[in-house]
Amino acid sequence: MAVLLKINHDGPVTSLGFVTGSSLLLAGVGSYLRVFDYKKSELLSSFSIFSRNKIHGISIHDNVVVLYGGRNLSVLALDQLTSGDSQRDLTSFQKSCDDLIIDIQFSSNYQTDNLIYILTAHNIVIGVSIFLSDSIDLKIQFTKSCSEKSLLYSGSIKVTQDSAIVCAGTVLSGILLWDLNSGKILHNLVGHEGSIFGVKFNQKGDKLVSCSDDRSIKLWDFTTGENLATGWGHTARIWYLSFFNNDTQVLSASEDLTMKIWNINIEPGSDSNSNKFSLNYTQNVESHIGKHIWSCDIQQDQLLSVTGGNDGKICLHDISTKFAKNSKSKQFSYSLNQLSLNYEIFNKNDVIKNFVNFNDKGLLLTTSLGNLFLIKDNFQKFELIKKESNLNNQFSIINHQFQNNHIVILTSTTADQLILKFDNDLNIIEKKLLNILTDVNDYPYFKITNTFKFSNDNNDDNDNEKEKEKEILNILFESPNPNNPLIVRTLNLKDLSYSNDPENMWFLPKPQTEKRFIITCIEYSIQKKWLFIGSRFTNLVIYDLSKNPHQMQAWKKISKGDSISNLNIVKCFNDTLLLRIFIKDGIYFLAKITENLNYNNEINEINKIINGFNNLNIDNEKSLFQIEILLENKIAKGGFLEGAFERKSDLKFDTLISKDHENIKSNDLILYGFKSNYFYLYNETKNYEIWNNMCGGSHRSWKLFIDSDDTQIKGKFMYTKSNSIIISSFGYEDKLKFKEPVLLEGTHGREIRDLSISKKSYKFSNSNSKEILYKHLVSVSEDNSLKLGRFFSNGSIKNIWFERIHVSGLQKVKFINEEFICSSAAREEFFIWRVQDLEIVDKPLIYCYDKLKPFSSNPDLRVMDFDTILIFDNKNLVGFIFATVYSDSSIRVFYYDLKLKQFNLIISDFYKTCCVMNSKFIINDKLNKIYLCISSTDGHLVIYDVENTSKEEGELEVKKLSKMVMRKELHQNSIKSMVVENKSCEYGSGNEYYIITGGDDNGLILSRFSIDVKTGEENIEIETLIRDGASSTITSISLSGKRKDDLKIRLIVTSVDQIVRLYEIDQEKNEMVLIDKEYTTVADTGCSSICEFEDKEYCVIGGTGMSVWKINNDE
Amino acid sequence: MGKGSKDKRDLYYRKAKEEGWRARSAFKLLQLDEQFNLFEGVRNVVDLCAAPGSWSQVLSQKLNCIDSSSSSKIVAVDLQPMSPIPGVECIQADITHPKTLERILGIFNGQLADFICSDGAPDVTGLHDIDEYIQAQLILSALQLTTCILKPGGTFVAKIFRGRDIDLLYSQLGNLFEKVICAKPRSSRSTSLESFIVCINYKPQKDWKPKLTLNQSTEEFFKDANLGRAKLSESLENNLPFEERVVAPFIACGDLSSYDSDATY
Ligand SMILES: C[S@@+](CC[C@H](N)C(=O)[O-])C[C@H]1O[C@@H](n2cnc3c(N)ncnc32)[C@H](O)[C@@H]1O
Repeated sequence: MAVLLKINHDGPVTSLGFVTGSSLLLAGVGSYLRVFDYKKSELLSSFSIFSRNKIHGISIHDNVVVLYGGRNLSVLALDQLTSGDSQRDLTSFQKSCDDLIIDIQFSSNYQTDNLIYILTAHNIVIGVSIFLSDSIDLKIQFTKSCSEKSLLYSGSIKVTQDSAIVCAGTVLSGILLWDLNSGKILHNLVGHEGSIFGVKFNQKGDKLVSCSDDRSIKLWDFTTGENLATGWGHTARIWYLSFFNNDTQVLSASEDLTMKIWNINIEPGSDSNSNKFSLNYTQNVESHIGKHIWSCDIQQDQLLSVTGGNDGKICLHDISTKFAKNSKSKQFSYSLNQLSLNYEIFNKNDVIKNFVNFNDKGLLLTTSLGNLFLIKDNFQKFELIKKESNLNNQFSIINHQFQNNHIVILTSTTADQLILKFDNDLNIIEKKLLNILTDVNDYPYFKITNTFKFSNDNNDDNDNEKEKEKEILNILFESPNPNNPLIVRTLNLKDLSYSNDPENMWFLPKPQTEKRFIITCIEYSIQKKWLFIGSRFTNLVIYDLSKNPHQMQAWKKISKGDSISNLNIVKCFNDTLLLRIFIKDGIYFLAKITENLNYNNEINEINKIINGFNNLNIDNEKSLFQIEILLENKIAKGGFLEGAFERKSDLKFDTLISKDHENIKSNDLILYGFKSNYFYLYNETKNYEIWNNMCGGSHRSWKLFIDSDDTQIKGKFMYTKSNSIIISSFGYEDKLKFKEPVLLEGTHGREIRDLSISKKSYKFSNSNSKEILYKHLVSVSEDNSLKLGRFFSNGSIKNIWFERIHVSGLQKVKFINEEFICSSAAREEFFIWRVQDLEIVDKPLIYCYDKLKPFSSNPDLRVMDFDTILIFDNKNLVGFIFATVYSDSSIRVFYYDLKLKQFNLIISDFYKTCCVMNSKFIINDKLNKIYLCISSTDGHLVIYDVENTSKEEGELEVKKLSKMVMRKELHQNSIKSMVVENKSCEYGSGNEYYIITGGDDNGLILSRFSIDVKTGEENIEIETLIRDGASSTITSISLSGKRKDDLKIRLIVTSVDQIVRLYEIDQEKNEMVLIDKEYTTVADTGCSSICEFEDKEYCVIGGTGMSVWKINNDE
Repeated sequence: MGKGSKDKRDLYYRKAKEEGWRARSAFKLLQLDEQFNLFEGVRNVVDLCAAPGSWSQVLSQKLNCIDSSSSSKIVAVDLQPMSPIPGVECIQADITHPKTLERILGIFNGQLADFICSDGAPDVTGLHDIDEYIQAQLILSALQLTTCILKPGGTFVAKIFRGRDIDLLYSQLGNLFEKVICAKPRSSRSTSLESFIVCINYKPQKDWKPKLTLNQSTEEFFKDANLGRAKLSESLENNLPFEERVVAPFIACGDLSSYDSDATY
């Protein structure tokens, strides 16, 4: 039995096919076929189809499914794929053909002739008949070609009633059309530049579309061969093209990650021959990350499309014009002009300033000229409530509250307040005029710029408190004068009056900041009575209103950016509160805020201001609140981030070998904001845009209402545009074509450079309180992102956070203990991340704890690798020692102080002039020795003696590396991978180490490094040298943590040749031998990591995609 | 960060500019020559996939073509146009098309070539199966020409990408040459999959006469060559046919003291 057992694969989606007349979708993910019920958003089964090639095409005819890729094809019965307990490994059905397959189509008489046409890359069509009985028999009937056998990059066969037309896309810009029966060339369409990547007929058979290296789309007339129109819009190559919607539209999908919908416009000429055609794209859909949408299909009846990306994601799209993006929402617009026609004469220059939406029953509007009016009765009736021309007395500021009562509070700059109470039909049942300053004599010149209401809109679970709070509403008044405090007063909703009780009146001093303190958002916890205020220039303030007098703490300039756009309480616990903080420029945080119960309430300490979040130098004992960042991230899109909400979604567990549908609830984070001229909703967890609206920009007065249910995100986006108010609703379609747009979540969009798995296992219990184990998996990719996900014990991987803090080419990532991760990249980026998995949040959280400052400005200077020693003081982790190695041959050693967040350079030196690839400490406690072992592009292994460095600060001086103990030439070229393992004491002196290296020269070498106890002399010996350890570059080596028979050390070696090899080191013989090798479907195989779940070992391999293997250590 | 911008910071790129080479690739051929002494006694050469022409420049210099009285012949072929180089005949054509090979044979007019090289790289799509196929086709086309025109004992050098299935190619080449070596010049980045096969001492297949006809795919051309490739079959084969695989010895070339193309300076 094989020692390496394949259990999962995630990677580029290379083909997709809807099954007409059902809700089945077939997807080729590498060499695996996954079958989905797209309506229910369920994975039904997974099959292994080819042993090496990826599935590049799917053709379906009734019950017959033909899959092809490379030189392979497989013919299967649909039943075989849909019956539940069917065989999962179908590789025994694969056949091979002698050339690359470009397209396969069924003949028009398939019922009688059972014939399929196979177009190969040399422009040859093979006719094959299929006999589908117990076994599947294929027989070649004919081979046909035209007189041109040039190499094809693309092609398609258009089956006609009695023959077929072959559309061949050549390497040198021509499209050859030839008749299959006669072999006659009908047209050679020229006009494109570069290789042709796609050519397709329309349904009617009179037109074609094509695309090439030149990024354009061309429309051709089949009868004349004339180029009718050329469409431009994609910024990279196009991989999919098809007509849809009765040949009136064209859909394209591209390397540039967009799916575009093109309209074929016809401008009639004098006769049908002089019609003028044009191609324009009307819609642009982005739902993948990285690079390339490889595959696409259209369900023509339903007007539904599906895209599959290099990121392994599968996304469904509604492409009917009725529901299509942007126009898919019902949109209403009410303009003052319209109103003025029907009712009263309004000034044409009047502009809507602010508005209230009454749960869809009506609107209340204020205007720049002081009008206040109401729209009600299903938007049929308009009523002017007040007209006020004196600017000071105009009610321009609105607060509203409609939980039990529809109450609207309008405020003027002079603090006059108009309070309106409506009934359910929006009739005014109570009206009250107040002035809050009459009770507050201390501030006669108080002008009001803004008011904020706060009460019980958040999800605190204290019901009693909630009930009580429903009766009241706190209003915060802000004045432009920096010396005026903020005033908070409590409005009793029963009698619509302010309480005069000093207990319910607060005067809150503004924090002293250099720039004016302007409030941008507030949030309040009823349970704790904490008021949070966010402002311009990213200041965050907490006022504790439970204490009298209040207490305050402020953080100045918590982040880069212009302002805090939103604050959001996620949860509230005993002494802790989780707060989401959104910075308008696109950064968001999740922070844990804890009250310091030991805090000594001294009067002069009350209003404390701290600089930034990351300044931990202040004595925590002395601050009222402690803030700890759990998560920090940056949105991918750019533009403005305005806020977020959560949405329930199911976590599905599926692998190639088991179909555990343990539906665990987990939340998706939905962000919203503005980008250039539109408003968007973006699913940050699954990385796709849910909805957008071309509202023109972010400067308008706008509001977002969300009322999602379990199946779908629903809501309304409203904004004002000069004298109109526009209400756009989304997610309210009557008939849903699918439940969830993302069928498969995928991995990174580009090649995975490195990955690492936590040692510790975490537990997750589902609704049936069945426990599921998982570990944290972190991966970095060429797309500059770092992903944190869960790796479940059944082999499935779910990504959670997609971190975009790195800006350049990533090299390495490693867990250095359970809580900290380090990652390195070009531009000398070396980041420390902190990962926490707290019971209070449904996901593990990650944020960038610290960054090492670059030493040079060379953007190409890469931190190639690093190693770490943990430093403890009385069993408490206090810091790390890092050894970083660079592409300019430098080697640096740092001590990092965790508490002070400080990097102290201890050693700085150069190896030679080549690029250092690997860095590893060898620590020998017995002999009290630390060595640094490095390897580089010159093929040498070098070991330095690093003197035991004291971790006490102050006495550090930057040294050179003391002594090169060893320098040995092992490989001919670059050493790509290196691991070090302590040889077990039973088999050696205990001062012996195995160093295993893999190179660009295909070599795999086992060396033994030993230190003589008596003399202290070091020695290195090559024990096993395998020249052809692989047939290509060895890219990674991972050590198993288990010893086979207590003796043998096992390791997994990956190479670009896509073979995963398991080697074993016999410690008695000091010998390394190959035990097993398996082909992996992950291309660009570049990294691996081994972990253990309940005594079983698993290996995750990364490259373009990820695959999961079980190591059968009993064999 | 595009590939291009990275190249520009490369030391070899700057060095090529200084020394007047059209591309940094020149150093790859120079370093291969350092190792294998490729040009001794070489007069007639085909440089496939030659644009912008730095290999042709090296060849022109090494074979002394600057001197118009030289009896050497260099033919350079590429899809892209090339500006002229002394002593080099440039053809703009697709090397995978049999017509192109015919044209080259026409130029040599019965004469044999001593050295054939190909630095061809297709437009990479990112889809591995397709890219590998097209790259293999470029090599097979070059090999097609080689079997038609290379004199016994001659040398063939071609760029390869050491991905999966590279062992298949090694094994096929092993049937046509005495020695097949996978060489990696130091000027080629170790982070790139690129390396070069150096095939020394051409020994034509005994019972097979290569016959170039238009309208033939490379598969058909090598049908009877017995190179260990999967054969064209009458019925579609079940499963995968057995294919021989070997690993060619690896040699890094260029002095260790020469620049490291992965290092940052
Ligand atoms: C790396 S460049 C060659 C550089 C060249 N050796 C030099 O030193 O200047 C690869 C070349 O292969 C060419 N090429 C790719 N496919 C080809 C084909 N089918 N026929 C001819 N040339 C091709 C490309 O046009 C490109 O110029």
